[in-house]
Amino acid sequence: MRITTRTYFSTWVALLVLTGLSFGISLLPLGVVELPIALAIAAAKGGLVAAFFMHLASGQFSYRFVLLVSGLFLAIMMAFTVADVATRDTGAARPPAPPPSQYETTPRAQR
Amino acid sequence: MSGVREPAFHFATYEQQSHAARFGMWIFIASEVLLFAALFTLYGAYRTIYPTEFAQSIAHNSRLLGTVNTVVLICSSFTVALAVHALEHDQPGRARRLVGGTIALAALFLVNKAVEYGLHFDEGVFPGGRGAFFGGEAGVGAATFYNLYYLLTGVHALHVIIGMTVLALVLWRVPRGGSLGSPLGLELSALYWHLVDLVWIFLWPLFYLTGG
Repeated sequence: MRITTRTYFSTWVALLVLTGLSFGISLLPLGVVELPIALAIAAAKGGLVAAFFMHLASGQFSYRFVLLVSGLFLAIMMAFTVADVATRDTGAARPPAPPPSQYETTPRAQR
Repeated sequence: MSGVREPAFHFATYEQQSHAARFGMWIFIASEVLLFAALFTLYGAYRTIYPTEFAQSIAHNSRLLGTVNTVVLICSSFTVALAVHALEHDQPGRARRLVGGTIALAALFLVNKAVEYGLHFDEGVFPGGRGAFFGGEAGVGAATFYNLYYLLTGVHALHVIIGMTVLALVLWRVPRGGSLGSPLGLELSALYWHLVDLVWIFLWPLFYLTGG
């Protein structure tokens, strides 16, 4: 693939459009789907930067391989860590805080 | 600069040498990805524990300043990509101006970030859960959010400063006196700069946009 100034220009415009899109979406009250949508747009933008600005689309496979592997390891680390935290008894399902009085310490002499 | 560049003695051809240099740069970028991966994982874990507090804190951040910085970095990535392209096509003057523009945009990013930190300090939002902001209704979840915010944006800002410095060194060394060195030095520095942009592309939604 031959990279021209036009390639960079199109990539830049696409990045700005996606940024505007992400900004616009963030103003909508979307609730829980907001984060996945924002991250999907960010991933698309990251893909554009890597493919065209960083020449991964036109470069040798070995360069792509390095980024793919680190991306895969990132995904494994993040997915399992977050899954762990989300399924613990403490943490995600935090018990209601006990009343403060429980923590009031009595002076040592009275024990 | 005319003719074929001589490779270093341990490479058969210059082509082979530049491939090795590029591959080395990608390995370095992978290690940087893993550094940020650890920090993003912390974010994911804590956001799972404090979803409401994170959303509220994000809504508290300035969406405008964050977005301006996103646009600034995307433009800087564009200018440095054009600079590499210009240098590869024997336009050192144009490459020089574009690298200069990239450094200026990087400086603009840092100024904007400093203004933003200043606004946080005015509100009593300091690292480590210190400051008047955390004394009121904003509790440990908000403090955790802002710890991560300072950690991630701080590490990223450090990368911006390093990237700027590297580009400034390239500007100083490479196209001096009109004779061009290899575009490889600029190309590898630009790769680093794109990484800085890439990281911010993910920081932006996580710290400014997804506040519900």
